[in-house]
Amino acid sequence: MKNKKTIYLESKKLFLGIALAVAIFLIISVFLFGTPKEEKKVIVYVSHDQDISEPILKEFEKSSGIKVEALYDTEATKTVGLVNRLIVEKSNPRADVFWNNEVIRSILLKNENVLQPYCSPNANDIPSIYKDKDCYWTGFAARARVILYNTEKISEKDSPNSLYDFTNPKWKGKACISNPLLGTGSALTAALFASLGDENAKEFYLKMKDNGVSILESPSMVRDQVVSGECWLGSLDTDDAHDALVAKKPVIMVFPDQDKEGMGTVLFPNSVMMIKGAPHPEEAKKLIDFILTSKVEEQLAESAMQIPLKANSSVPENIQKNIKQMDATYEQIYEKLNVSSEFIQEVFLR
Amino acid sequence: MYNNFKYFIYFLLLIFIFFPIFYLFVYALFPNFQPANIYSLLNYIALSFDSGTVKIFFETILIGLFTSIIAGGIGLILAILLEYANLSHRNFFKSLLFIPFLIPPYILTFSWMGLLGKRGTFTEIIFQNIPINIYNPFAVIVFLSLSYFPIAMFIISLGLKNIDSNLIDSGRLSNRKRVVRKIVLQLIRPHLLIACFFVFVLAISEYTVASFLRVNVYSSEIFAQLAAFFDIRRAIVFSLPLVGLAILLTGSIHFYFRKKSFTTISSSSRKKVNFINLSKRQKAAVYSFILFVLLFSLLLPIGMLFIESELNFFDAINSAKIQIFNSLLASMSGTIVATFLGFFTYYIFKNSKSLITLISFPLAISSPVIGISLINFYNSLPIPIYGTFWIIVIGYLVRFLPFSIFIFSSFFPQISPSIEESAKLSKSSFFKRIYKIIIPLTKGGFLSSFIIIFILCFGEVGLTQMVTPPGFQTLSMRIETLMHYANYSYVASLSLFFLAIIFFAYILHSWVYRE
Repeated sequence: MKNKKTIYLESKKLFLGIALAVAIFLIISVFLFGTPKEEKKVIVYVSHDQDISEPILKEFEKSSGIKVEALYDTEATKTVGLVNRLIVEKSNPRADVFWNNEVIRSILLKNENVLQPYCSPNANDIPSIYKDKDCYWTGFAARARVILYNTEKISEKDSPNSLYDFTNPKWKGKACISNPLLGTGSALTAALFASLGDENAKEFYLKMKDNGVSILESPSMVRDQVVSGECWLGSLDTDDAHDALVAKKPVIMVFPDQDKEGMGTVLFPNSVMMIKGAPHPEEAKKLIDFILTSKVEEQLAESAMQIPLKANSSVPENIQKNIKQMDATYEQIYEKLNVSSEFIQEVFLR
Repeated sequence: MYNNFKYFIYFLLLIFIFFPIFYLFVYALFPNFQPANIYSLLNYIALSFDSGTVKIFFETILIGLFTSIIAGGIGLILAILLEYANLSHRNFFKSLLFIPFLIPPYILTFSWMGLLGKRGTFTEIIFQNIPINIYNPFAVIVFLSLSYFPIAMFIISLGLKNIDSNLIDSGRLSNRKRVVRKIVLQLIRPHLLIACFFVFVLAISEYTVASFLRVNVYSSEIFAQLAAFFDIRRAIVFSLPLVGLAILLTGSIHFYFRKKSFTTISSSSRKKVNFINLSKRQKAAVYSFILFVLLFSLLLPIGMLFIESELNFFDAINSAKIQIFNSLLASMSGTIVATFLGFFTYYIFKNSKSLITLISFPLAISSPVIGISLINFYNSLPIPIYGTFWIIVIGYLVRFLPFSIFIFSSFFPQISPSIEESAKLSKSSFFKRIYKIIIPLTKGGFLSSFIIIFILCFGEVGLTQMVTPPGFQTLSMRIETLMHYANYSYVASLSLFFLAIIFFAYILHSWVYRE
């Protein structure tokens, strides 16, 4: 049995130790995070994949001497966390630049009065359909929605070449798509609503449901399931398909609905924009100019098979040119985002 | 001095817990702060809840209810057996059975998907011709129960420790079933109810498990309002039933026990009693049950993580060095702050349990909504908290303070009020009493709070990713990102490293608290 004095001394030691630990923590954290440093910096929110965007931002940091503080979205909340955050922060903005991995939520941010126009001189050679007419956002380096199929499961003569193949009973229970409520999945749904009309698009999705199409969390999961053969065919973005192709997996990528009567596919450019009331406006402009260079587009084409949009950017051989696109502008797609999401939520997720 | 300090604690609770959430709810529900809008608001609320939403709400309640019954049941059986049965190595089993709580539910689910999911090893090798489907609500209940039964066991064990052994000794004149039914179960009712309550609120606000298993739960609906519709107002409206339910439940628990005292311990009556004498056959059955629970909640998932890791530990850890450091820093800071505030909150309000139960209501609010409330509140303040890692610490405080308060609620009753009263009579100052009497006597509470809060903070991901400052990423965020990039080898390696850290913390706790 320990006597009271021993217990008291042990406790005293323990709590002195805790108090010391608290003090050390507070000091470390104040040094690490509390003291504002007088240095040139830019705060950028990034919803593009971290492994691809981070090297580009590091390069900017190196070439400009401006420190980049980046905040990345996780794949699960792609754009969602950051977009909500930008909306909530708008009374006291923290970010200077938003690098969005698509366009539709950029239009939402413009409508929410979160953005400030900036016409970058490096955006002059980007076609007007890929940028906001008032320079609130500028598109670059696009991904396309494609079909990936497993060559061990589907022969070349049966190869799918249209989104309507997902409603074909031949592939019942064999096809998968990424969550049509989130990320580029929701943008594709809105694009179909804008391009086909509400009723036709609804019919298309109902047929897909009847055909047992699986809904997976993200395009990368679609890719993995097609690669493993759990899904025979899947709808995903070019950058996700690219990883499987580079790894020489038994898959083939197809741009859907490219024939004369086909509806075409949808391109999702990245978009970059300046935040209204950005704390570091000059640095923000420099970063936007850097991101909109041909060098960055070519880098993205190389690393993630993203389609260069600038007239002056060279297009690698493995990237298809003259892709037929759906008949809808990004503003029209944005207009359909709510109605299409409500439908999807009701039909697929309840 | 005591009164000044009490108001200081009031202030901290208001600024950290109540104001941010209350401010968001008012901001979202009454955008113009006009009482005249009340009718349109009620109309808006009524229209928000269509039949689909109501159905999902009740389905989620059922998931929470079944999870709390299963986890509470397993926790109760294990706690009673390990406290009162003539089993050997009881402390070892207690420690082992607590470990599944160290595994965040999404990691446990991830490893089970590796076994029984579509890409699962077992599915491919063993169950090729057997239709096995884990993508359903039943699987969500099972995985959540496997994750949360240790917390139920832990809470109930604390209750069992507080039972006066003299009562059990006198009851032994009767048979053991009657002792369990008439004495033990009666005396640990508050702990059992609170254990089930904690499991219930954790289960209904958890959505990562359901999301992996493609089951739509009410928290996913709230998430969808933010993720797909960017409708913060509707997300808040959807949070109202959960908050209401949490307050209703805590209020009911408080009302039910308002005039009952279940703390029976006195310093001389705390000794171990083994009144459940099992035969060899019964012992074998109990050990098999423990092994069965351990197999499904711990051994198979960890084994699966080892297989999936492809032994990529070095590369995976090397790629996440900064995130590991950040996680340790944020979690340890959150743990220290939540433990001390939990201690003082319980000390100040120990006679006002309704206030303590009210503090539990953030548990029922899903992480993204809490995240938005913190951003909304702290971004409008002129003090530099938002944009630093302290906002994560505050987030941890909002989420996990109730756990700390509850832990202290199990340790404080062991202090006889007469000790503090005599110190008061000898004119000891308030802080001297705290430092020299209360803190040493609640040493165990501090250690338990440190370990449990640390584990919870270290595994938190939903709230962290909402509020994290630029350039700051935690290990759990990194794992979640890799999981969605389908980099399973790194996910498994980092998950194992993650478990090693919290296991180390747990071992440290067990060693310090071995008495």
